[in-house]
Amino acid sequence: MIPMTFLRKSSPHMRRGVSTPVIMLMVLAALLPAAAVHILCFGWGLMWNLLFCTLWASLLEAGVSVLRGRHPLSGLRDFSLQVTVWLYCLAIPPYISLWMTILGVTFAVLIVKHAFGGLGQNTFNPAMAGFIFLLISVPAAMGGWVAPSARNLEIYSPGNAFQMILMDHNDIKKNLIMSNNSRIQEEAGTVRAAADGATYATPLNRFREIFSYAGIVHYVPDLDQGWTLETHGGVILSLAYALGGIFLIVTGFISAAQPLAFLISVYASGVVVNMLGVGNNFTTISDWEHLFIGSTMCGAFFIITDPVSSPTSLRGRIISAAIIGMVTVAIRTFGSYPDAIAFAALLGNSINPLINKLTRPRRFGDTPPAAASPAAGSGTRSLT
Amino acid sequence: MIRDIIELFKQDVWKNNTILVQILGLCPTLAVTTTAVTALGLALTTTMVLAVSNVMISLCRKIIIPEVRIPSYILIISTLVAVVEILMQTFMFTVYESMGIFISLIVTNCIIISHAEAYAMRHGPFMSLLDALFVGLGYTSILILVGSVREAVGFGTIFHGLNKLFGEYFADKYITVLPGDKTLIFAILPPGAFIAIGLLIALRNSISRS
Repeated sequence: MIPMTFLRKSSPHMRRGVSTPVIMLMVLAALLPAAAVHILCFGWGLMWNLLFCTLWASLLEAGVSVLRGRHPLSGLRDFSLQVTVWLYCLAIPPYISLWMTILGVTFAVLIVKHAFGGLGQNTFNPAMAGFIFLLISVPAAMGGWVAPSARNLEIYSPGNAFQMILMDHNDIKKNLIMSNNSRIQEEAGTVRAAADGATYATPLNRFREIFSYAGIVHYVPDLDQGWTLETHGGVILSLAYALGGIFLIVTGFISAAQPLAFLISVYASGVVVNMLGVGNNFTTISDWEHLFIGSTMCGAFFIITDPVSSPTSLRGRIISAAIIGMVTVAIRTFGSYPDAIAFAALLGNSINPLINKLTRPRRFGDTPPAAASPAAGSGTRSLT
Repeated sequence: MIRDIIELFKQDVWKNNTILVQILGLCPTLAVTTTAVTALGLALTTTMVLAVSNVMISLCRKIIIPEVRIPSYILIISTLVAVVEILMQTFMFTVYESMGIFISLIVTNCIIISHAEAYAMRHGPFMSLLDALFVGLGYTSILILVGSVREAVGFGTIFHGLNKLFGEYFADKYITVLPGDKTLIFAILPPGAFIAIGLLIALRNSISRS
């Protein structure tokens, strides 16, 4: 007699031979150009922040894993923590005090990621939430961006950058960054609308614009000088993000639709806002500038494409991306906080359940609700 | 009798703590806990209203017609709140100003209505008074805790401005926890309140589970 043994298998899901660690490593690889340009523009601060944040976040992750009864290394094997840390370190100004950096990453890992259930469960993007935590908590320090310059590599050499990060007197640090900035600008002869104030909490109205990433790279471009880090640092950084993003699209790790929907939405909203001439910011941002200032490109390819905190279906993702794009421009135009991408992304995250509900895919064989006639309804449904 | 009182105490303060377990009356809790002193002020006011309303409703429980009991509670509670409000305007104007609309909103505080409905309508005035005091104790301690944490992180002090409640002797009786440049404004903004209360609820759950 043949023994009654059955092979038990789950549904025949199609599998792609990539695992979470591979995806996360690819994202890290895609962030490399941006990180390199970041260091070229702003000096070596990023390196130290990455080092300290990675160490500290790994410790936290291991601790939380033990508390949740798992192997201490279980949370570190998928590299998602590293992606969070990298995005977070790229978003914050590179020379804020170490305790602030550490506090933000602690908030991101403990509250935003693990209090909601860890990787795959976090409603909000941890990197952006950590950044916003700092932006709201220590607004003055978060304005301390250095002006992009090729000379920053020596001004903020690894040793100096280390000292800057450990230095805890914000006023002294601000003055130092400011005097460096003005020297750089004098030497480069660039005309800047914003950078003078960028390190400094000037009256709130200017503050909003200047204080941001957006402020740093938003200036009156002097095209005669050609493209240098001093004149186009922010744009070059944006292009580096775009390069990484295109790499991810070509290798098939993210779909092109989501970033495209976002960029089109940002551009279109920019056109509408500029046509209407509304907004309360003292400088207007042109349609194209919307795409290349601030962290638009970073947001398009790395923030809103986060698989955990974006809707499940492609249709939902496109809708969410378009909404985030509109909110971004709205915040830039009317808002009182500058870095619109982070706020817009979190707002987008929070409406994901609604988008998921509204874009639920039709079951195979099911009739769409509008076409289902009362007579056919019960009969056809039972077939599925 | 004594055993009943002890059981009531345990229920009101720990097992059914209004904030941490029943999640009642959260709106004023989130709004006024920016500093320990405003938290204490609102908690004491609420306790006072709760105590008097519980006793009054307990005394009236035989004559309140069940069909219109909720309007009757509201009538009694709003009268008390109006009295408290006028008293505060007279004697503690600075506190009254710092708590703003939340004094009037005590009328709609679920804690008071729920204890009128669930306790005072079924028990004598003495036990109702004890119930109110125990609930008030649980409520006050949590509010002070949340207020202290948020004030410590957000302003770097604890119990700053105690003189507004208890007279000038307390003007400088506050504790400095953090230097002014190390504070996080996040804690005194609404998300800080949600996170602080969320963490406290988590802490309570983990204690009661172990």
